[in-house]
Amino acid sequence: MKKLRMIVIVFFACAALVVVVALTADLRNGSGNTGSNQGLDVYYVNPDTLELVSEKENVDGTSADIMLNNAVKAMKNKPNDEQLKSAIPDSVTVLSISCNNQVAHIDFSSGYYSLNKPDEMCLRGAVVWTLTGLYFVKKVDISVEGAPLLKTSGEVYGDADRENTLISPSIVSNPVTSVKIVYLYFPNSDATDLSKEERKIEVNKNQPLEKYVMEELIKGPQDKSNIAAIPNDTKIRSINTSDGICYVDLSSEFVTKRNGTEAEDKAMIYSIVDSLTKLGNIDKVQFLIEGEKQNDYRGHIDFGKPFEAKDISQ
Amino acid sequence: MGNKLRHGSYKIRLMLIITYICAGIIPLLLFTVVVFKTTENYYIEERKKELLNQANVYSGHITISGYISKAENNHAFNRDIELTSEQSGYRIIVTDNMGVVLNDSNGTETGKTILLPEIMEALDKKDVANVQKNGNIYAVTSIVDENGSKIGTVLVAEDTIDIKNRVNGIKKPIYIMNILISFIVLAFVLVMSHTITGPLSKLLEVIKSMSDGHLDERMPVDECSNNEIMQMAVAVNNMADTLEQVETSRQNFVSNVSHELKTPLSSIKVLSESILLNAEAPKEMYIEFLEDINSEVDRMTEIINDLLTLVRLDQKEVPLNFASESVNDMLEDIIKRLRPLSDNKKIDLQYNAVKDVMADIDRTKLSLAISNLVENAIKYTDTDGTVKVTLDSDHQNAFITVSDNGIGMAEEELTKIFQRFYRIDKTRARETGGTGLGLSITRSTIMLHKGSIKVTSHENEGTTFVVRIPLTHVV
Repeated sequence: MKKLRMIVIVFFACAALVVVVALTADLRNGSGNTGSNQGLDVYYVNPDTLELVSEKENVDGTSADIMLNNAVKAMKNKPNDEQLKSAIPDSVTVLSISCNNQVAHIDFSSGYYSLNKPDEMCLRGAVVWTLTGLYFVKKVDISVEGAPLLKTSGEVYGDADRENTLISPSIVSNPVTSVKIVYLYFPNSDATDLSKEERKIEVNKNQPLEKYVMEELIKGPQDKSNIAAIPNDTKIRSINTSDGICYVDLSSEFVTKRNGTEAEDKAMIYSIVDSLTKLGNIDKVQFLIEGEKQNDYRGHIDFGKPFEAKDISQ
Repeated sequence: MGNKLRHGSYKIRLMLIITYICAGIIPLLLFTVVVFKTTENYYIEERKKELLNQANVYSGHITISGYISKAENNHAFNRDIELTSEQSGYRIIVTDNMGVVLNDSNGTETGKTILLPEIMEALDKKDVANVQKNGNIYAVTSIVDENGSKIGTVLVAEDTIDIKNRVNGIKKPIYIMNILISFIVLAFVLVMSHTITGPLSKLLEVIKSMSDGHLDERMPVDECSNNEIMQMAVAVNNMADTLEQVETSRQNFVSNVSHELKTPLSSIKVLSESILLNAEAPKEMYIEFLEDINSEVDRMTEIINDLLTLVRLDQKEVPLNFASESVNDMLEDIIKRLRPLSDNKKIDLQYNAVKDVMADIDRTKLSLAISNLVENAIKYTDTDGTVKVTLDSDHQNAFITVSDNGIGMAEEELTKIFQRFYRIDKTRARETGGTGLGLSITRSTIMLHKGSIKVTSHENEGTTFVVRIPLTHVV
């Protein structure tokens, strides 16, 4: 009995130790508010390859402003690696730097406009990636002599962070996922017409687009004045297209979980058909329920032959 | 000893194989690798140009269609870029001159800023295409407005897998062919090396056997191949022949010497035994028998002296003293000395010198050699015969001819007369005197002068000896 008690005590002591270590590790990483930031990734430029490379520097400070200024100083310092140089050229000075609501505002002198493209873009990237390394900075806003940075179109460049400012990104010629814009038709509230919705979805190249369209239709419209006609626990058993005919095989919930009038059913069917035929490779849609061709849908719509696109308002 | 021989044979084979690998296989491999690399690079360079071209075309298309300047054309732009990307298989990204992505055929990067070195370069200097670490080629061209200023870039990305696959498609069969060729040639090299190492091993065996004492061993010679190894085999065989001959002649020599010495020894024995057995022998008998014994002893001494001279000449223990002498003088001396002998037999001793000849000779030794020839000529010519001594020369050699019209010799004897103790007519040997070594000594002397001696003769017609002596003695 005494042995067992010993084991239990030792076990809890170890557990407590592990918890303490984990907590202090969290603090040690600087995500607490001790105010010091050991080892900030400071970005420098390789002038030959135009790549941005980081080196860890000690950036301390008792306040955010002091740390920001120290970060800028570190950026202006000569880096350890012989091949790199500071991303802030001598022709540009930092007029002011402050932080407000997790957005760092950095103002450069007018020399910024005289920089050539590589210098300017590298400076921009280095500033964004270095400053967002500080725990209290989520975005960076750049201005020159008080005026905000502009895009070519004249619009304001806006706040930059690591998500929207990519340094040395890996652009692949044939990525697996891409973002496509699809057009979805949903029945309006009284099933007299279909309204078109444009949606951006992330698709996988290996899946047919028709599948994603069906999934989005089942999810329902974003405009709540339109109807999510398809029962939302309908499963897409399979969907494939050949010779321009898209065969949509749905589970039985498509029939059993539906409760609507003939007009409403017709609107739902054509919302699917019109959405699918909007994709270039589909001319007609053939419905199957649980793998079988049905004679009709809930008694009032002929399911024997494939459907073509139709404007139901006519 | 046997082990050493065998390893040597393998070393040559190994050397040949290593040579073949270094000089044959490795360059072949290097060559194929270089060719493939060059081909791949060529394709990639062409692809870069193609992509730059496409990017420029699209850039122009964008400018004309006004996609960038008018924001309302967004839908058309989207469709356009998607379609172009689908048809061509490229990824197309359009940015402004701050690096902000205006459109992306893949839809994912639109709105983000991408700070690629290639984009920076296209905006700053000129269009550029580079191969990236991930195997894609990025071709970036700038979009230019009516005023000529750069308002954005078009990035076209395509991967190079199809190039790699194409090159790899060629690689496989070529590598297989390389391996095949290498094996075939290797097999060939191995077989060919056997033509060297095979005979060499046999040769080593034969020589080893010979040095163990089997002088009758010979290397089988393949008449068809006349290469250096076969020539060496022939030379070894000849050497073995010579060795056998030497051994035979040594044995002959020993038996000859014993025989020659036995004869006077048995005479001495007979004579001394007669005296000893004859107790009542008169003083005259003693004197006569002792005189006979004396002359036999003299005879033996002469034989032994000649033998020693001959051996020493052959062993080159006697250094010849070469000096530039007048051959004419030497011959005149010989003639003078031997004239009494020829006068005795009423033989006409003639001397004719076509020109004055100076040569590097050892006068003493050569004089003895030529004297011997003249003495023989006189000895073997009947009364009223003629002995002619002639001296001539060309720019390299002196020629001394001694000819007579004496009893001559049969043709089959001519090669044998220079052998030691050889007598054509053994019965006449004792009468005519001499040791039977004269011609051997003459020949050796002439050999030491790096000259030559030739004889022609017909029975009952006469004999001619021609001696050639080089004018300059080359060491």
